[in-house]
Amino acid sequence: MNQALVIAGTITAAAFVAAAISLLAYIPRKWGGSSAPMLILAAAFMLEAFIGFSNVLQYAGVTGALDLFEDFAEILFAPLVVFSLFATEVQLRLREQERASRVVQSEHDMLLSIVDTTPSGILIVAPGGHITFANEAARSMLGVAEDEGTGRLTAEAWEMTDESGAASSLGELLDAPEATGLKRAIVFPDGKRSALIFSVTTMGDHSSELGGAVVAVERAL
Amino acid sequence: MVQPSEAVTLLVTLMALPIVVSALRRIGMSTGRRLFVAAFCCVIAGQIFTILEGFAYPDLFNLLEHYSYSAAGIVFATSVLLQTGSKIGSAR
Repeated sequence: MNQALVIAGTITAAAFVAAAISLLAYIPRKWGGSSAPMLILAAAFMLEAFIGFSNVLQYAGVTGALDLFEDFAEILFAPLVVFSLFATEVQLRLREQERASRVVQSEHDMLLSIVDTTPSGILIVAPGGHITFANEAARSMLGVAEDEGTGRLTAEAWEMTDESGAASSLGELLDAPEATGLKRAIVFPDGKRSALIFSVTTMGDHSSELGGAVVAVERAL
Repeated sequence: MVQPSEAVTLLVTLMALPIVVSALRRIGMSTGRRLFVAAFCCVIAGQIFTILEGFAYPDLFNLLEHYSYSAAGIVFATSVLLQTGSKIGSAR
């Protein structure tokens, strides 16, 4: 009987040591995360290997001194396994989030690059007529700049007239939703004149957070 | 006669089992997952045999206890080898 138990203990110790070594041989460098979860699981395996080793010593008649520690080792095994699996899951989720964040940032950068380099002016005008976004072309055509004090976008104090010569404004364009080819003339404070064509598309409804309109601006030929 | 430590150990391991199963599923461990769970069940079996040997057939249940742990070790090792082997293979 003792011989059978010694054999069982030897198999237990050897198998769990093999499991721990196999685990440690694969350090997840690819993952870019720490190997702590693998180390915790390997420690759990080594606890069981210790139990096997203790039984070998006990049933081979060498010593039973390690028997006292077997209970502690057994009770620690399950919590260590659970903890290592949870730590692995957290690592995986964090990595997925980082990857998704990089993709979103990359797309954002590309879209911003397209908007900024297009020769057409693009404005976003809020319901009250305030400019909330203007690309480089729009800033050049309309003299839009960021106010140093408030950080808000403001246009130069130009005067706008429609085709009939009547006074017009950016805010008025919002009253003509989904309109294209609106010809307007702008006179800047220094007397410079500019003939522009506006196209307007509403952005959400006026009750939503986005509200306002997207305005495309081209120079009239 | 049930040792308190044996009962507590079994209780802790039984509570850990569903957590281990769901965690393995969420991690997406496909290769070797069932073996890992089977090995965990072998550990539970060994702990049950430990308690039973205090009531009847002490030699038989003692033997079953130790060979349950041996089986757990072998199945854990196989599960880990399958999982790490597949990862290492894909890395190459």
